[in-house]
Amino acid sequence: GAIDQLRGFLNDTRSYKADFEQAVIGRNGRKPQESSGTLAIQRPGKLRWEVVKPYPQLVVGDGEKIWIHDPELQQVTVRKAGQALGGSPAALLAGSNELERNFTLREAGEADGLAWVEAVPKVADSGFEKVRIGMAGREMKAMELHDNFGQTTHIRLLRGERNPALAAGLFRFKPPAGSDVIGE
Amino acid sequence: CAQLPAPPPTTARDAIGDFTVDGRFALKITAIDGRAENSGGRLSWTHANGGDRVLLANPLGIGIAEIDAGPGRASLRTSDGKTWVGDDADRLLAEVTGQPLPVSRLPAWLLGRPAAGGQLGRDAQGRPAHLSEAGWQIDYAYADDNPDALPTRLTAQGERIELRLRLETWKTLP
Repeated sequence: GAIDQLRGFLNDTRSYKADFEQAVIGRNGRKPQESSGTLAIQRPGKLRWEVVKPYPQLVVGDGEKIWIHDPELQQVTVRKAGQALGGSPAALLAGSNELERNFTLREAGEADGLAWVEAVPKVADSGFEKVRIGMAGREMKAMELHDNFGQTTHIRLLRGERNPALAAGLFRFKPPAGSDVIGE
Repeated sequence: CAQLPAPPPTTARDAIGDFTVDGRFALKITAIDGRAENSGGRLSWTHANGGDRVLLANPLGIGIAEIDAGPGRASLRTSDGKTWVGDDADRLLAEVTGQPLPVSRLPAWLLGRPAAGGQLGRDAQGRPAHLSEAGWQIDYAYADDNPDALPTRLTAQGERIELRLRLETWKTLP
Protein backbone atom coordinates (compact mmCIF):
# COMPACT_ATOMS: atom_id res chain seq x y z
CA GLY A 1 0.00 0.00 0.00
CA ALA A 2 0.92 3.67 0.00
CA ILE A 3 2.56 3.43 3.45
CA ASP A 4 5.00 0.80 2.18
CA GLN A 5 5.67 2.91 -0.89
CA LEU A 6 6.38 5.92 1.31
CA ARG A 7 8.61 3.88 3.62
CA GLY A 8 10.40 2.59 0.53
CA PHE A 9 10.93 6.14 -0.67
CA LEU A 10 12.21 7.32 2.70
CA ASN A 11 14.45 4.30 3.23
CA ASP A 12 16.33 4.45 -0.01
CA THR A 13 16.42 8.24 -0.45
CA ARG A 14 19.52 9.76 1.12
CA SER A 15 19.15 12.95 -0.90
CA TYR A 16 16.37 14.32 -3.10
CA LYS A 17 15.85 17.22 -5.48
CA ALA A 18 12.65 18.46 -7.17
CA ASP A 19 10.79 21.50 -8.42
CA PHE A 20 7.57 22.29 -6.56
CA GLU A 21 4.34 24.09 -7.25
CA GLN A 22 2.38 25.13 -4.16
CA ALA A 23 -1.14 26.49 -3.68
CA VAL A 24 -2.53 27.57 -0.31
CA ILE A 25 -6.32 27.33 -0.44
CA GLY A 26 -8.26 29.09 2.27
CA ARG A 27 -11.55 28.08 3.77
CA ASN A 28 -13.45 30.89 2.13
CA GLY A 29 -12.54 29.69 -1.35
CA ARG A 30 -10.59 32.87 -2.11
CA LYS A 31 -8.12 32.74 -4.97
CA PRO A 32 -5.37 30.35 -3.85
CA GLN A 33 -1.96 31.82 -3.06
CA GLU A 34 0.27 30.07 -5.60
CA SER A 35 4.06 29.83 -5.53
CA SER A 36 6.76 27.72 -7.10
CA GLY A 37 10.42 26.97 -6.56
CA THR A 38 12.91 24.22 -5.84
CA LEU A 39 13.34 21.69 -3.04
CA ALA A 40 16.51 19.87 -2.01
CA ILE A 41 16.84 17.37 0.85
CA GLN A 42 19.95 15.75 2.35
CA ARG A 43 18.96 13.28 5.03
CA PRO A 44 19.06 13.30 7.92
CA GLY A 45 17.82 16.75 8.73
CA LYS A 46 19.05 18.99 5.90
CA LEU A 47 16.61 20.79 3.65
CA ARG A 48 16.41 23.72 1.24
CA TRP A 49 12.99 25.02 0.18
CA GLU A 50 13.41 27.99 -2.13
CA VAL A 51 10.36 29.88 -3.35
CA VAL A 52 11.20 31.69 -6.59
CA LYS A 53 7.81 32.93 -7.75
CA PRO A 54 5.87 35.14 -7.11
CA TYR A 55 8.00 36.38 -4.21
CA PRO A 56 11.44 35.20 -3.10
CA GLN A 57 11.53 33.24 0.14
CA LEU A 58 14.06 30.72 1.41
CA VAL A 59 13.81 27.97 4.02
CA VAL A 60 17.08 26.25 4.97
CA GLY A 61 17.31 23.40 7.47
CA ASP A 62 20.96 22.97 8.37
CA GLY A 63 20.36 20.02 10.68
CA GLU A 64 20.19 22.11 13.86
CA LYS A 65 18.08 25.08 12.91
CA ILE A 66 15.44 26.01 10.37
CA TRP A 67 16.08 29.44 8.81
CA ILE A 68 13.31 31.28 6.95
CA HIS A 69 14.46 34.34 4.96
CA ASP A 70 12.09 36.91 3.50
CA PRO A 71 14.36 39.25 1.49
CA GLU A 72 11.58 41.74 0.66
CA LEU A 73 10.82 42.24 4.34
CA GLN A 74 14.52 41.93 5.27
CA GLN A 75 13.56 39.39 7.88
CA VAL A 76 15.06 36.07 8.98
CA THR A 77 13.14 33.71 11.25
CA VAL A 78 15.19 30.96 12.92
CA ARG A 79 13.96 28.13 15.11
CA LYS A 80 15.28 24.85 16.41
CA ALA A 81 14.83 22.04 13.90
CA GLY A 82 13.40 19.71 16.55
CA GLN A 83 9.77 20.71 16.07
CA ALA A 84 7.77 18.06 14.21
CA LEU A 85 7.13 20.29 11.23
CA GLY A 86 10.04 22.68 11.53
CA GLY A 87 7.91 25.20 9.68
CA SER A 88 7.86 23.38 6.34
CA PRO A 89 5.98 20.32 5.14
CA ALA A 90 9.19 19.17 3.45
CA ALA A 91 10.89 19.08 6.84
CA LEU A 92 8.88 15.91 7.51
CA LEU A 93 10.87 14.15 4.87
CA ALA A 94 14.25 15.50 5.81
CA GLY A 95 14.20 14.04 9.28
CA SER A 96 15.77 10.66 10.15
CA ASN A 97 12.40 9.10 10.99
CA GLU A 98 10.53 12.34 11.68
CA LEU A 99 7.42 10.99 10.07
CA GLU A 100 7.08 7.74 11.94
CA ARG A 101 8.14 9.21 15.27
CA ASN A 102 5.72 12.14 15.24
CA PHE A 103 2.84 10.93 13.10
CA THR A 104 0.33 8.11 12.94
CA LEU A 105 0.20 6.85 9.35
CA ARG A 106 -2.96 5.62 7.68
CA GLU A 107 -3.75 4.36 4.16
CA ALA A 108 -5.94 6.99 2.48
CA GLY A 109 -6.78 5.29 -0.81
CA GLU A 110 -6.27 6.28 -4.45
CA ALA A 111 -6.97 9.74 -5.90
CA ASP A 112 -5.62 11.76 -8.85
CA GLY A 113 -3.67 8.70 -9.95
CA LEU A 114 -1.71 8.57 -6.69
CA ALA A 115 -1.76 6.30 -3.65
CA TRP A 116 -2.20 8.45 -0.57
CA VAL A 117 -0.91 8.22 2.99
CA GLU A 118 -2.55 10.27 5.72
CA ALA A 119 -0.26 11.35 8.57
CA VAL A 120 -1.90 12.66 11.73
CA PRO A 121 0.39 14.30 14.31
CA LYS A 122 0.66 12.29 17.52
CA VAL A 123 1.07 15.52 19.50
CA ALA A 124 -2.25 17.34 19.68
CA ASP A 125 -1.07 20.94 19.44
CA SER A 126 1.36 20.51 16.58
CA GLY A 127 -0.31 23.46 14.90
CA PHE A 128 -1.90 21.56 12.05
CA GLU A 129 -4.49 18.87 11.56
CA LYS A 130 -2.93 16.38 9.14
CA VAL A 131 -0.60 15.87 6.19
CA ARG A 132 -1.39 13.73 3.15
CA ILE A 133 1.36 12.38 0.91
CA GLY A 134 0.68 11.14 -2.64
CA MET A 135 2.86 8.35 -4.01
CA ALA A 136 3.32 6.93 -7.52
CA GLY A 137 5.26 3.74 -6.97
CA ARG A 138 8.22 4.74 -4.84
CA GLU A 139 8.10 8.29 -6.15
CA MET A 140 6.67 10.99 -3.92
CA LYS A 141 4.52 13.21 -6.14
CA ALA A 142 2.36 15.38 -3.87
CA MET A 143 1.83 16.63 -0.32
CA GLU A 144 -1.20 18.28 1.26
CA LEU A 145 -1.06 20.05 4.61
CA HIS A 146 -4.31 20.84 6.44
CA ASP A 147 -3.91 23.48 9.13
CA ASN A 148 -6.37 24.14 11.95
CA PHE A 149 -8.03 27.07 10.16
CA GLY A 150 -9.44 25.28 7.17
CA GLN A 151 -6.48 26.17 4.99
CA THR A 152 -4.91 23.48 2.84
CA THR A 153 -1.42 23.77 1.35
CA HIS A 154 -1.20 21.66 -1.82
CA ILE A 155 2.31 20.87 -3.05
CA ARG A 156 3.08 19.12 -6.34
CA LEU A 157 6.59 17.76 -6.86
CA LEU A 158 7.92 17.77 -10.40
CA ARG A 159 11.11 16.42 -11.97
CA GLY A 160 11.99 14.64 -8.74
CA GLU A 161 15.50 13.13 -8.58
CA ARG A 162 16.46 10.59 -5.94
CA ASN A 163 19.97 10.48 -4.50
CA PRO A 164 21.54 13.24 -6.61
CA ALA A 165 24.87 14.74 -5.49
CA LEU A 166 24.03 17.98 -3.66
CA ALA A 167 26.53 20.74 -2.70
CA ALA A 168 26.84 21.12 1.09
CA GLY A 169 26.54 24.89 0.75
CA LEU A 170 22.88 24.45 -0.24
CA PHE A 171 22.14 23.61 3.37
CA ARG A 172 23.94 26.48 5.05
CA PHE A 173 22.50 29.93 5.70
CA LYS A 174 24.05 33.17 6.91
CA PRO A 175 21.65 36.07 7.58
CA PRO A 176 22.49 39.01 5.27
CA ALA A 177 23.70 42.18 6.98
CA GLY A 178 20.90 44.49 8.03
CA SER A 179 18.14 41.87 8.23
CA ASP A 180 16.10 41.44 11.39
CA VAL A 181 16.72 38.03 12.87
CA ILE A 182 13.93 36.54 14.97
CA GLY A 183 13.93 33.47 16.96
CA GLU A 184 15.36 31.22 19.58
CA CYS B 1 -25.03 81.88 -3.93
CA ALA B 2 -21.32 81.43 -3.50
CA GLN B 3 -19.83 78.66 -5.55
CA LEU B 4 -19.01 75.85 -3.14
CA PRO B 5 -15.46 74.56 -3.69
CA ALA B 6 -15.79 71.43 -5.84
CA PRO B 7 -15.28 68.36 -3.60
CA PRO B 8 -12.03 66.54 -4.43
CA PRO B 9 -12.63 64.01 -7.24
CA THR B 10 -13.72 60.72 -5.64
CA THR B 11 -11.13 58.27 -6.81
CA ALA B 12 -11.64 54.53 -6.94
CA ARG B 13 -9.75 54.43 -3.65
CA ASP B 14 -12.28 56.65 -1.90
CA ALA B 15 -15.10 54.42 -3.08
CA ILE B 16 -13.60 51.29 -1.52
CA GLY B 17 -15.63 49.91 1.38
CA ASP B 18 -15.05 46.20 1.94
CA PHE B 19 -11.89 44.47 0.77
CA THR B 20 -9.62 41.48 1.27
CA VAL B 21 -5.84 41.65 1.15
CA ASP B 22 -3.25 38.87 1.46
CA GLY B 23 0.41 39.42 2.18
CA ARG B 24 3.29 39.12 4.61
CA PHE B 25 4.19 41.06 7.72
CA ALA B 26 7.28 41.73 9.80
CA LEU B 27 6.74 43.18 13.25
CA LYS B 28 9.59 44.65 15.31
CA ILE B 29 8.96 45.61 18.93
CA THR B 30 11.64 47.34 20.97
CA ALA B 31 11.14 46.63 24.66
CA ILE B 32 11.70 49.40 27.22
CA ASP B 33 15.15 47.94 27.95
CA GLY B 34 16.00 48.37 24.29
CA ARG B 35 15.88 44.68 23.45
CA ALA B 36 14.25 44.16 20.02
CA GLU B 37 11.69 41.42 19.56
CA ASN B 38 10.63 40.43 16.08
CA SER B 39 7.93 38.30 14.60
CA GLY B 40 6.58 37.77 11.13
CA GLY B 41 4.57 35.64 8.78
CA ARG B 42 1.61 35.79 6.45
CA LEU B 43 -1.70 37.55 6.93
CA SER B 44 -5.05 37.22 5.15
CA TRP B 45 -7.29 40.20 5.95
CA THR B 46 -11.02 40.51 5.28
CA HIS B 47 -12.51 43.91 6.03
CA ALA B 48 -16.27 43.59 5.56
CA ASN B 49 -19.61 44.52 7.15
CA GLY B 50 -17.95 46.91 9.56
CA GLY B 51 -15.66 44.24 10.98
CA ASP B 52 -12.34 42.53 10.36
CA ARG B 53 -11.32 38.90 10.11
CA VAL B 54 -7.56 38.41 10.09
CA LEU B 55 -5.81 35.07 9.71
CA LEU B 56 -2.18 35.15 10.88
CA ALA B 57 0.04 32.36 9.60
CA ASN B 58 3.69 31.41 9.92
CA PRO B 59 5.99 32.40 7.05
CA LEU B 60 4.98 29.26 5.18
CA GLY B 61 1.28 29.85 5.43
CA ILE B 62 0.33 27.50 8.26
CA GLY B 63 -2.37 29.22 10.30
CA ILE B 64 -1.38 30.39 13.80
CA ALA B 65 -4.25 32.59 14.95
CA GLU B 66 -7.46 34.09 13.63
CA ILE B 67 -9.01 37.32 14.86
CA ASP B 68 -12.63 38.25 14.38
CA ALA B 69 -13.27 41.86 15.42
CA GLY B 70 -16.01 44.47 15.15
CA PRO B 71 -17.00 47.61 17.05
CA GLY B 72 -16.55 46.81 20.76
CA ARG B 73 -16.00 43.06 20.30
CA ALA B 74 -13.06 40.86 19.44
CA SER B 75 -12.42 37.13 19.49
CA LEU B 76 -9.18 35.32 18.84
CA ARG B 77 -8.73 31.62 18.07
CA THR B 78 -5.32 29.96 18.13
CA SER B 79 -4.17 26.80 16.33
CA ASP B 80 -4.57 24.69 19.47
CA GLY B 81 -8.32 25.39 19.30
CA LYS B 82 -8.53 27.81 22.24
CA THR B 83 -10.65 30.96 21.86
CA TRP B 84 -10.26 34.25 23.71
CA VAL B 85 -12.83 37.03 23.77
CA GLY B 86 -12.39 40.74 24.54
CA ASP B 87 -13.63 44.14 23.54
CA ASP B 88 -10.42 45.32 21.85
CA ALA B 89 -8.70 43.31 19.13
CA ASP B 90 -5.35 45.08 19.52
CA ARG B 91 -5.14 44.39 23.24
CA LEU B 92 -6.40 40.80 22.85
CA LEU B 93 -3.84 40.06 20.14
CA ALA B 94 -1.00 41.60 22.14
CA GLU B 95 -1.93 39.72 25.31
CA VAL B 96 -2.51 36.30 23.73
CA THR B 97 0.02 36.17 20.93
CA GLY B 98 2.49 38.84 22.00
CA GLN B 99 2.05 40.49 18.61
CA PRO B 100 0.56 43.97 19.11
CA LEU B 101 -0.63 44.32 15.52
CA PRO B 102 -2.68 47.55 15.24
CA VAL B 103 -5.68 45.59 13.89
CA SER B 104 -8.32 48.24 14.53
CA ARG B 105 -6.59 51.07 12.62
CA LEU B 106 -4.94 49.11 9.83
CA PRO B 107 -7.88 49.00 7.40
CA ALA B 108 -8.09 52.82 7.44
CA TRP B 109 -4.32 53.15 7.09
CA LEU B 110 -4.30 50.72 4.15
CA LEU B 111 -6.69 53.04 2.32
CA GLY B 112 -4.95 56.25 3.44
CA ARG B 113 -7.76 57.49 5.67
CA PRO B 114 -6.31 59.27 8.71
CA ALA B 115 -8.33 59.55 11.91
CA ALA B 116 -9.56 62.97 13.06
CA GLY B 117 -6.54 65.17 13.68
CA GLY B 118 -4.32 63.02 11.46
CA GLN B 119 -2.55 64.22 8.31
CA LEU B 120 -2.18 62.64 4.88
CA GLY B 121 0.50 63.53 2.34
CA ARG B 122 -0.03 62.45 -1.27
CA ASP B 123 2.39 61.51 -4.05
CA ALA B 124 2.57 62.88 -7.60
CA GLN B 125 -0.32 60.61 -8.63
CA GLY B 126 -2.48 61.84 -5.76
CA ARG B 127 -2.11 58.59 -3.85
CA PRO B 128 -1.44 58.31 -0.10
CA ALA B 129 2.32 58.64 0.44
CA HIS B 130 2.62 59.43 4.14
CA LEU B 131 0.02 59.41 6.93
CA SER B 132 0.49 60.50 10.49
CA GLU B 133 -1.96 60.17 13.35
CA ALA B 134 -1.79 59.62 17.13
CA GLY B 135 1.89 58.77 17.33
CA TRP B 136 1.97 56.62 14.19
CA GLN B 137 3.84 57.37 10.96
CA ILE B 138 2.67 55.39 7.93
CA ASP B 139 4.53 55.20 4.63
CA TYR B 140 3.23 53.71 1.39
CA ALA B 141 4.84 52.22 -1.74
CA TYR B 142 3.27 51.15 -4.98
CA ALA B 143 4.25 48.82 -7.81
CA ASP B 144 3.52 51.33 -10.61
CA ASP B 145 2.25 54.83 -11.36
CA ASN B 146 -1.45 53.98 -11.70
CA PRO B 147 -3.34 56.62 -9.66
CA ASP B 148 -5.82 53.96 -8.46
CA ALA B 149 -3.07 51.55 -7.42
CA LEU B 150 -3.36 50.08 -3.93
CA PRO B 151 -0.14 49.89 -1.93
CA THR B 152 2.15 46.88 -2.32
CA ARG B 153 4.13 47.93 0.75
CA LEU B 154 3.20 49.77 3.93
CA THR B 155 5.38 50.62 6.91
CA ALA B 156 3.77 51.71 10.19
CA GLN B 157 6.13 53.22 12.74
CA GLY B 158 4.66 53.59 16.22
CA GLU B 159 6.17 54.03 19.65
CA ARG B 160 8.78 51.26 19.96
CA ILE B 161 6.93 49.26 17.29
CA GLU B 162 7.52 48.95 13.54
CA LEU B 163 5.23 46.99 11.26
CA ARG B 164 6.36 46.25 7.69
CA LEU B 165 3.72 44.88 5.31
CA ARG B 166 4.25 43.36 1.85
CA LEU B 167 0.79 43.38 0.35
CA GLU B 168 0.52 40.73 -2.38
CA THR B 169 -3.10 40.54 -3.58
CA TRP B 170 -5.95 42.98 -3.08
CA LYS B 171 -9.57 42.32 -3.81
CA THR B 172 -12.22 45.00 -3.31
CA LEU B 173 -15.59 43.51 -2.45
CA PRO B 174 -18.81 44.90 -3.97
